[in-house]
Amino acid sequence: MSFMQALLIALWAGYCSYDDEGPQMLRRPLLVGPLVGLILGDMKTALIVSGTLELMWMGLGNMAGYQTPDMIVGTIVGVSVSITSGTGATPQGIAAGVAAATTVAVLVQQLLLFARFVRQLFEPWADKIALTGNFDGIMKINIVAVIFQFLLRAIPTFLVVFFQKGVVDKILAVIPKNILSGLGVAASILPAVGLAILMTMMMKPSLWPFLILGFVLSTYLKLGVLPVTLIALSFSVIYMFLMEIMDTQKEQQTIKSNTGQSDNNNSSDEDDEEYDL
Amino acid sequence: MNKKEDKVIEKELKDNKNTQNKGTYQKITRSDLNKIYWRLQIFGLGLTATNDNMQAIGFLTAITPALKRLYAKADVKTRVKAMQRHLAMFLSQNTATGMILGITTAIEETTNEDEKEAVVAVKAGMMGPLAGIGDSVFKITIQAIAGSIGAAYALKGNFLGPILMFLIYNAINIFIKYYGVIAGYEKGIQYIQSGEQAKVLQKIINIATMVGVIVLGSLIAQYVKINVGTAIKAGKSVIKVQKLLDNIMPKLLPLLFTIFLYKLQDVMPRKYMIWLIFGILAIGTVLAVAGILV
Repeated sequence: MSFMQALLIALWAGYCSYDDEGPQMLRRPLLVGPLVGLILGDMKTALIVSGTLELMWMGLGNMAGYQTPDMIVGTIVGVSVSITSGTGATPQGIAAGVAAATTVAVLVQQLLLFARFVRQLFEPWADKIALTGNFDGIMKINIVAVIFQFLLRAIPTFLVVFFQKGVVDKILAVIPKNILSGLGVAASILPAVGLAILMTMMMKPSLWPFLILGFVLSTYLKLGVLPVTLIALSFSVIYMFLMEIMDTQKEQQTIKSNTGQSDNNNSSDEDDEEYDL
Repeated sequence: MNKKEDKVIEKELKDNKNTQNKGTYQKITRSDLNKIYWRLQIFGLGLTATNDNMQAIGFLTAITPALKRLYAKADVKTRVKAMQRHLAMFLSQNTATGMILGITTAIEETTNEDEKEAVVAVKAGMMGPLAGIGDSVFKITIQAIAGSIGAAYALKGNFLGPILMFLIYNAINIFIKYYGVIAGYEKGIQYIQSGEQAKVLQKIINIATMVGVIVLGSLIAQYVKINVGTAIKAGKSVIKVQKLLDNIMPKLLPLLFTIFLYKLQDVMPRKYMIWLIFGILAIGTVLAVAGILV
């Protein structure tokens, strides 16, 4: 890896870092990783490693109150390791990339906690600017914040990417071949983690049949994601229509049976409040 | 307790309803709204997020074009008040904040200086519910579907993957963000409060969740790979365990393992998740070296 390549990757990391908090158009491993492949001249490996990381970290990145492992630097380092260690798009290469990505993501997570601490300084500054009544003054904070956010990931990425080559190669040389290929097998289980996290956010007990439907469409009918999404979309819309028809029918029935019972409704409201406390 | 606070805010919102807080383009121009959108798009909310007032600086930054227009001739004292008002605690989700900015602008335009508590109340009342919608629809469902469609191509080494993901996710995200600013301003607070609107939003969330869960099932089948390599010798014939499992149901182990991890989240705090990844890598490697997994 040349100095120039490491610098370009660091600049990209800086931009992605700004994007993560500002425009929020990239954020995910699959959108961050491929450009690293372009810089290092191995698109195929970059795509496969980014795709694996995308699935592995699917539900990650939106947990309130706790700093998540950093996907941006993790992905960039993971892709660089896979490409520069010479293993490329083999199962071992992908596994090495995934292991490196996860490790770096945890380390950078600590760095981001420190960043929160620094950002706290913006608050007294903003209060001071508010006292001047100058609306444009608030822009100063934003410009400083963009530069800070850029450097926050650009510098560590440069250091890790530029100096990792020798270290990772040595580690890979020491590890026996069968353990490396075992790591490749283990890495192919990892999408289960991302999907399980996603499940915790979407699943309700009534939705199990939907999960089974999707599972069956892909196991037995061998359909890909795009056709499954389209089937799911039309299925859900039809389902909503049916539910609406049933609801209106129910409403009509309850209106018929409930006329003149508004007092009961009031008392049940009070009950609700007690439950809330 | 929160419920009660919500009810107070709700009441204040209802009082405001009578004043018809709709934007009318009397003072604010369309280009102001565009500027608000661009500031939200470029600076977002997280760049300047702090622990106490959260995303307040980002919100003030975004709404500044409207304040500049409305307080162009105001004295310093009023302007200080306006800035301090928008530096009050704010926490929501980026995409959904477009609509909050639009509605807040409309209320800023239509209220007198002594009615400004309405601005604070409306902001506080909307940021929670809209963040919930924003998170469940954009961050979770659409991002996951776009990501999995993209990953399907990327894993085959096809460059279409990231491009498709970028287009699907950002087309929806940016459209809602921009439309939110404009529609929020033009239709005002009633837009959110009318029962019809709530029903439409609920419908969108329901459809998004159903599609999300179906796709999730498909993803488990396609991307989680667990194959048993053990073979049992029974007399002369060799029985491969994986074949036995496949006869019951293909991809049975990936399904069971994912559901196991899902149930595990109930008892294991999310912050140990990264150790779970390392754990699976370690145990998986050991099992693979031993030939139990292939």
